[in-house]
Amino acid sequence: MATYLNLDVVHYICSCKVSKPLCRLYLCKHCFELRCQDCVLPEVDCQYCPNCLDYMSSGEAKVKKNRCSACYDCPSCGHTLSTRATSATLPSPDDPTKQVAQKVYYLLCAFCRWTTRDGGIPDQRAPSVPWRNLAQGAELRQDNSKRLTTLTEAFRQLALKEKAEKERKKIAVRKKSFFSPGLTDRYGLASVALRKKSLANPSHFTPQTVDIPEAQATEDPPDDLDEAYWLPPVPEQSPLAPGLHTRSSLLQRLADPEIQPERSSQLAPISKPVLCKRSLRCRQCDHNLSKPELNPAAPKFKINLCALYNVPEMRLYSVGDGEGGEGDDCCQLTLLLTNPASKPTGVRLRCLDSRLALPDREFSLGPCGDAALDLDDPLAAAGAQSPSSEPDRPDEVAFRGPGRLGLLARLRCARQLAAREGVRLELSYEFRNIVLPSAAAGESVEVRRLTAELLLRPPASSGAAAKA
Amino acid sequence: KISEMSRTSVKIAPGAVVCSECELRGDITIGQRTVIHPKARILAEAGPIIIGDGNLIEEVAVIHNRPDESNPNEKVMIIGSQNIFEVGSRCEAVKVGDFNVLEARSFVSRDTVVSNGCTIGAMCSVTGREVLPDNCVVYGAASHRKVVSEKPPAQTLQLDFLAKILPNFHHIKKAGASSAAAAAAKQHRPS
Repeated sequence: MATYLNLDVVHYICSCKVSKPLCRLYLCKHCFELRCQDCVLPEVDCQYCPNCLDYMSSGEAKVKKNRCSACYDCPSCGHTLSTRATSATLPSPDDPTKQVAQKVYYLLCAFCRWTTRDGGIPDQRAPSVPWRNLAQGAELRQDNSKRLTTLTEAFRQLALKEKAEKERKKIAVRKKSFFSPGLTDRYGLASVALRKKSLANPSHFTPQTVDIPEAQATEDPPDDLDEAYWLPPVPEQSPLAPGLHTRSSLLQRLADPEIQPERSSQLAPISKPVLCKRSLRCRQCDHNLSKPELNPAAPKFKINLCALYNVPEMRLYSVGDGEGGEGDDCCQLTLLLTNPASKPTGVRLRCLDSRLALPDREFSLGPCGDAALDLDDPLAAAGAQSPSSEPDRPDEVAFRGPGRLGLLARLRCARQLAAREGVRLELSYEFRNIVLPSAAAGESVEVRRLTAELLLRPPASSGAAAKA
Repeated sequence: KISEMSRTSVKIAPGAVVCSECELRGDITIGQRTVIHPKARILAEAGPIIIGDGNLIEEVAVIHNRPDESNPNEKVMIIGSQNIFEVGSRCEAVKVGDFNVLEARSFVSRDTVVSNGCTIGAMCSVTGREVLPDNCVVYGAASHRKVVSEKPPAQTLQLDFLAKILPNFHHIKKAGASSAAAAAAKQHRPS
């Protein structure tokens, strides 16, 4: 049922005038407005490894270069490597003369069967070892730190010099005549002039010219390329040309820019990059809209203000036939309203552009499924009856369920027009805002009447009607 | 079909565990310590199938000696030892070597010759007239290929475990030669 949710049929209008499905919106309970992804500010809470779920703060992640220290990715296909153990007879560490069966470990990719043995790494005695440093390709890694420090030093000197020049230019703008020793001697300003002059020409503080040392080649380039560099000619039949599998593919080479292995024997396990756990903040009022738990293994939230949990959701339940039988215009729509809260709420739908004929009164929705089970009255729990005193009229209400209400509406314009441009509706509902306990009073619940603007786009043809 | 059924003759070596619920059609020889799960299908349509020792043929796997229009002569399908045919794999290759693994839902066509130590990844299909190199691994949605340094490990532990457990839950075919004609004759004999 790929069209089960059909997110494009009913959109809610965000405070930035963009229409989005309700599942993509947040409700800021301080501004009482809907916010979309563009109206919120994401912040990084912590970093975590997707394999071992080990989480670290941002500072720690920076030191570790945003990689997990224990998990590795396969250099051949990108999947996670798993540690395997075999037993091998090796000289025991205590007594080198005796051969003892010991457990040795290697990394294996379950998807493409690449092992660390293919990368030229011998099996290790301990399961957690810096595998990457042991690889054959590790020696290809270029250590640029020395060059970087010399460059940084030289540029720091250059920056100092440029700053001094700027200062000098500022001072030198004023006319020098007032400060020549001949004129100023009378008033004892000679010393002042001398000091200013020395400040203006701080040549003895910084060097006049800054040398940026040139890079030196580590070794002479070979005169002609290594014989092994060239692949043997490809024979006609073989699909796996001899020698072709000893070369790394372009994707494999680019996945490891530190080593850039050319040969498949130089492929080394890649430290697994970490992912971020982020929290979202309303741009207007700076309050948090979504704050997950720090531990990635716990999918709970400290603060979760998703619109789905706070705003009644409207869905297009079904599209009936038009007034002239199969005619598309003026067909009857059934709109399904769902209450996400655990307390009953009153909703009212109003059409803003008169394209839809709606029952124009307030309906109360029972609490949603889970909370409804606690009620003593089984009928009210099932939501079969209207919770308020007014009985439901059959031409307005199609059905009721726990926390759900099916409203009947009639389309007043052409189906094609409604599908193309949509019908603008306004949903007003009660929002129960739990105000945090203040010093004087305890926790109180504030009930506010909020409105949300909706855009309903029923599908154009009856064949494509979505059933909720 | 009736003529085919009467030609069904299965030779099961001692030590092989062949569940009764598997479908065996045609002339089939099964080697020692081979384990065949229920619902596996071995169809020797175009000719006999000879299965070696220590193979593991899992549920819904199909080993089919399919009749070939271009080559109507009988062709014997030979499968070596220590191979693993995982769930849902389909093998129509006429010659399969040793220590191969055909992962779930993989497919090998009649033209391919599978050598030793190959791993055909899940959902990969290998068609094409060629001999797969030893220790070749086929993986990924695009059926990438590479050659690894060693063959997949033999699953002796798994075979031992299955040989002990399967008889507790399934009826096992008896070792020895049996054919549909002989079974019919047995029924008529007063017991």
